[in-house]
Amino acid sequence: MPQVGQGILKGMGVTLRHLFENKITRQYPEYKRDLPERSRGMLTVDMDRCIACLQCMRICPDHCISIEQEKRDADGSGKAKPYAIGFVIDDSRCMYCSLCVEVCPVNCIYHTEEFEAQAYNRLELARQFGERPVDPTIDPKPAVKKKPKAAKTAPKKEAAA
Amino acid sequence: MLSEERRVEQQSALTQPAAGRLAAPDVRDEFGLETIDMSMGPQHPAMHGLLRLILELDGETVVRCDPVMGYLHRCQEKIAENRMYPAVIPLTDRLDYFANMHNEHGYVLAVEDQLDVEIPPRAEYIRVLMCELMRLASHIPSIGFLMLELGAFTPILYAFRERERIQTIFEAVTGARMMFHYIRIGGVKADLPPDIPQQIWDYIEGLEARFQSDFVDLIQDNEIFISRTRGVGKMTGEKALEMGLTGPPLRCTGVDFDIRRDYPYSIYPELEFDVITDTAGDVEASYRVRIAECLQSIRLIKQCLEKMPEGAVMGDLGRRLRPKEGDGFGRVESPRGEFAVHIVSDGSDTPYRVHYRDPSFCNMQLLQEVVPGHYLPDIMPIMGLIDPVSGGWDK
Amino acid sequence: MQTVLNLLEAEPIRLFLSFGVILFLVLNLAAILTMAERKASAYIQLRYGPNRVGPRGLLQPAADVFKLFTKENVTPGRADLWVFLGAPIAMFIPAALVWMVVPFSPDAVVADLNVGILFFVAITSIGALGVVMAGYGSRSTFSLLGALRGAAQIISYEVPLILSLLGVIMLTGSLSLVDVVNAQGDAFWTWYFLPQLPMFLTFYIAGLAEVKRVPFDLPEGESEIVGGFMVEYSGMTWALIQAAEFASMGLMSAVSVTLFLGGWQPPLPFLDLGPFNWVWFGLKTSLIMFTFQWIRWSLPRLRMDQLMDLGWKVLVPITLVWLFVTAGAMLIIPGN
Repeated sequence: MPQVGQGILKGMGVTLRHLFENKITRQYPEYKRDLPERSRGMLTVDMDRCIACLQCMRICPDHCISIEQEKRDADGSGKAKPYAIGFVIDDSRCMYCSLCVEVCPVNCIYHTEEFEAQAYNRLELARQFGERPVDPTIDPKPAVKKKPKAAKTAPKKEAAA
Repeated sequence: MLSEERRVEQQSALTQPAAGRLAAPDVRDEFGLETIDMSMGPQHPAMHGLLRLILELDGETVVRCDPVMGYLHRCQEKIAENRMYPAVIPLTDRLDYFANMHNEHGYVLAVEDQLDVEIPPRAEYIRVLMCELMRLASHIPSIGFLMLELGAFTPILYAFRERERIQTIFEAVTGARMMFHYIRIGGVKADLPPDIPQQIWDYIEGLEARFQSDFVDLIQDNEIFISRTRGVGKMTGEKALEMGLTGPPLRCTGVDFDIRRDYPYSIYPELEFDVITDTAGDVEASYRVRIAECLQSIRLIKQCLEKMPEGAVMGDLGRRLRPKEGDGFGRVESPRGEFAVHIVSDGSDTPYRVHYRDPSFCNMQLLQEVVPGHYLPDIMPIMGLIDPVSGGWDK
Repeated sequence: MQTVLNLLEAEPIRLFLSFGVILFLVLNLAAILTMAERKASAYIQLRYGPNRVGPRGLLQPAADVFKLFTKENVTPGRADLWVFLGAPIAMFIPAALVWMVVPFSPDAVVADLNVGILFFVAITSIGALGVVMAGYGSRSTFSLLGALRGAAQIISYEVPLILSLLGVIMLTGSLSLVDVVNAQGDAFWTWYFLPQLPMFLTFYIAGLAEVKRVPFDLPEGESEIVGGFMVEYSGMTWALIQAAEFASMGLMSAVSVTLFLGGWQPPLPFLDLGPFNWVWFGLKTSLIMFTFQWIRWSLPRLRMDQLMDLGWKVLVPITLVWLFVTAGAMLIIPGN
């Protein structure tokens, strides 16, 4: 059976004190805070350095990078090297895990400080970086059926049982 | 007229519980009264996520409480079978999204169990530091949620002020505020930035100054809080062990079990901390346990900052991560209880099977056993005792 | 022209127009109170509250009202329409009607009934009917629970509410609110809250319970039954229920100020403002409304059985005991 007493008044004193303190809200569009240098925003690619090794496409867990590769002599050295003619990053799938940033051998894909990824149409969120637009709706890494490994472990279980 | 009747009948059929095991038989007691079947449905502001509780009420008293889970199921265990071992870590972040570091740590311990890798001591200290900061960032909002469900709307905002500051520290260290992807197999991703230890010290000192007034004075002696939480959800230690509880719900009944001390991992053997238990076993006891664990986390953080050695932060793993065939097991003390990961490998790049033992899922047993007999408004403090997170119970 | 003015002097017309003014006042009060509530809650919670619409957010109530006008009134398919739609009306009209007997200033009261307090008590009881209509007519389990809780709470807290007024009535010797204000002197130590302190606190707590505010908002119970008796309302019907709630919160503040804090009397004799004493009335009522809000944002809510315990086992004995103390003091202390 509750009785009005000191506990309630102590709590009310705390809230009254907070009434006169400074507010901690930051008014967002007018105030943008300085992001730390490691913050992971939207991805961007420096196409001049990309060597189309496809490592980022392979490692991306959400299949959000699609690259169309072509052999082309881009820097006039006489040898046709792999060249990314189409490169799309789908922001609607990207989960900012930075795995692609870590595997890139030439550090051409990196996080910016931008985080405001909004669009009126979901397909607009797929940003094209190459010359030829790549269709973001096609999954670059469809799921591969794994061979069932049950045969190898089942005899062991029977032996243990 | 006929279509009207049928429409009403259809609508009533939709609101009945599913036929079969869960349907309440039409029992009337000797006064001719029957019970109300109600679904505190998945859309509810205070359900800690998406949980459906099928309740059978006798007036205000709950006679039966069946939780129905699965509204946030994302097939994480299955998806992990198609990803390489390092790429599963972002998935584990999203399990119990209030304690991301602990999830990552548990998974990484399971993988390292199968590998033969030396983790540098600085990496271990950083892991424990991050995990204890995460424990603070999880216990403080859980107290706020308990108060929110009791009807006090203010403590949760004070709690989230603290969590925001901790998340800012995490952002400076890991790059993200919530889905960190920081603890890696063999160490951590990158070293702490040079000004971070000082920032953490300043934050901890500020927190100690604010903690007493914002979270203890406001709540602990409040007579309404005491009358709402004392004696509610009372369990004995034996019953808690029977139900398979771990974490604060278990320790608040008096059972002295903490994985950091009983099955130690990482560098916890070198750090001093107390395992907090309380004998009352009700919601107020769980509140006291969580408050005291926050203070212990502060103590651990200070020790980590003082004792941290210099050195590398990543062990030597070799080119490809291919554990041998077999099992790996890792368990950590997450803020909600024991989080354990069991990995079965078949020698390839991707695991064969990953199983998460999530504390929120296992602690939900409490609802079915303890709630019947309480009043309807008591369900919310009892959920505050468990403090589940829907990403946890649904994976 | 003269006939029009004579017509306006006629009692029924004057009453009609005054009630129109009161209704205008009450609806605006409800709108402004939503804003005040949000700002007070925000400042306690270390944030700003609405500050985008208009200068410093002051046009927020206008934006809210406009939005609610344009929203669809969703009615559940199997709700009993007459009961469902009649409930907001049944909740709002009593809250607005009692303002007629509240004296704002020495000569500004719509109806100086000589049974003013009885009128207040009787008409606010109708609010309980509105709650039950809302919950029962929605034909939903959450609403039913909210309605049952609401009915039980409101009718049980009417007992301490009424008992706490008996001391004031004995001291004044009249049921008229104007007489009560006049009997309290124009210095704050002569107001009734000092000799009747337990009654004042009981009236305040019972008033909180009547208005269904935290710590007594279990009928509305946002965390368990999400809106309780008003969960199925949306749009203008919901707005009318909220207006009723804020209007009755203002009413409880106004009546407690009138009965215990001296109404329009200034706290010290030299601060008397003559016909502008409604400023003092407004200030005191705002202070009490602020305490209502301060309590709401600080305390958790009581469970049903604890609520009932508080009402019947704590508040009623306090009022009965103090009633005898007051009666004894009136007999013993001469000229009181």
